[in-house]
Amino acid sequence: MITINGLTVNYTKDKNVINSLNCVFQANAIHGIVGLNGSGKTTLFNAIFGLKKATHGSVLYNDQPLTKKDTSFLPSENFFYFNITGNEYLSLFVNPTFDTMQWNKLFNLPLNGIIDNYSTGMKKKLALLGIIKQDKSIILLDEPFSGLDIEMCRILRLIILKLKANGKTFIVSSHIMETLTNMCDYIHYLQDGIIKRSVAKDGFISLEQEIFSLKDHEITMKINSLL
Amino acid sequence: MRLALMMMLLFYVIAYIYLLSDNLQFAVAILALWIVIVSNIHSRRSDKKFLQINIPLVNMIYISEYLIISIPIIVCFLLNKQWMLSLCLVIFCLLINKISINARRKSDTLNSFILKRLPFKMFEWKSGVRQFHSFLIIVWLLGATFSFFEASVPLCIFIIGTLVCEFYKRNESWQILLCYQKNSDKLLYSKIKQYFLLYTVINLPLIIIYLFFHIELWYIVCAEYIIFLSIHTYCIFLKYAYYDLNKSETNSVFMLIGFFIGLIPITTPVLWIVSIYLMIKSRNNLKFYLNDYN
Repeated sequence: MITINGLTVNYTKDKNVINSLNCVFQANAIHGIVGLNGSGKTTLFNAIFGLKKATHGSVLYNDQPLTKKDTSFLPSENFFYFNITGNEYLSLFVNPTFDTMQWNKLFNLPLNGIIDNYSTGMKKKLALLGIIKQDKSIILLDEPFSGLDIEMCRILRLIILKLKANGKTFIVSSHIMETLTNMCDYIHYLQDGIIKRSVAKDGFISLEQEIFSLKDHEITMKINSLL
Repeated sequence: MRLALMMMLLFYVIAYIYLLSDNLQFAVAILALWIVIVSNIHSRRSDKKFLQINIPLVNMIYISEYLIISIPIIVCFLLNKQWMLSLCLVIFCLLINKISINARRKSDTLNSFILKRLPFKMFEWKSGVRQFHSFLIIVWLLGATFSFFEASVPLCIFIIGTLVCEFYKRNESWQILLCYQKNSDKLLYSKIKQYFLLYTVINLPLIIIYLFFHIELWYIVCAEYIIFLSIHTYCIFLKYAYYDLNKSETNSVFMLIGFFIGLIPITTPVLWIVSIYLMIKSRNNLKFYLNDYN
């Protein structure tokens, strides 16, 4: 179980991006984080993983501070080293049981080619392969479906479900609600740096209606006034 | 600042070439090296297609460009009355456009025997060796082949050493930094150890051949080897001392300053002191990312 207690993160002193956030993520489940642009999703991921120092609060895993030993993190934008091949990147992660060639039959990447020549989607797939190879018990995925084609989105969803069945815990963010509702066990709605609501599968529809009904009305009014 | 440093470096190099080209053996070595450099530049040019499409007299562009950059060397040769060598260089500049090899495209997917033999954790070397692959091999082979010339091996070590500095110019992503699963002390130690072993493996054959021919000049190659070890260690510590997730490259001005301080034997100890400072700074800087592996 991952427990976040009073997590506060800021970039400037006058405004907190994550504002005394409290949340509990059950282990062996897929948790979706949904929120509008600027709601603090990426900052939350960075803080959980330890790439951004929290001003206050703690992130615990089974009552111990969460460490990078337990966690792997796929950021929304991936940056690789200049002039190395996909194979060379993957070989940096040590996992003797991971068969790169077999996995690549699913991902279909030119692993002997230089990463700089990969498309955005291919880079995302390579980063995902790296995450899978690390075989950590907690996996944080920030916008994992962006840049992927329809087939790859389906494959990724199946991989996540299978890894969950094998005991992994996922925290996944997305702008698109549908990508989360058909995969997640829990969805947490992040707004202004705090989790406004957390719902299990049976509450997904009501959460979606709650988030978007008010917004839809506001947006329709604005569009009508403009056009 | 950069321009001033570049001008100083250029002046220093030209003056050194002038002094060396007085001797025929050194002049031949300079000519050979220059031919290798210009051929490498020409084969890697990315604007060839653009020039072919847009410029009717593309050969004239190549000839004039290579002649212009060769002027300092031609002048040095002429001042030292190396008439034949000057002529050879001019002829080379006139014929260089006949080289149609596109090394740039080849290097994109290069997975050569040498690259496969490099340790998989040394991604800086894999990237750098791939970038300068043919050039490094040619320089190493020329250095070994002409080791009976006094300047051959020292020049070869100098070129390779300078290129290796370039390998440590770029920052890796945090994913790569974390993949070692080591704390900052162990990571820095393993980086330095791997670098030291690999650099020694590359240079040792050259040093042995050189000592075979010029045992009385043993101190030249040994000093050069130690100087470059110091410079590269400085570069590694510099990279991690200022490592930042949002920066893709390390500070090249500091790298250049360290390079020159290291090159002058009297000031090399200054580089050692700065390296110790940077080592402490890099340990502290990396702790934020790697503390979980304590």
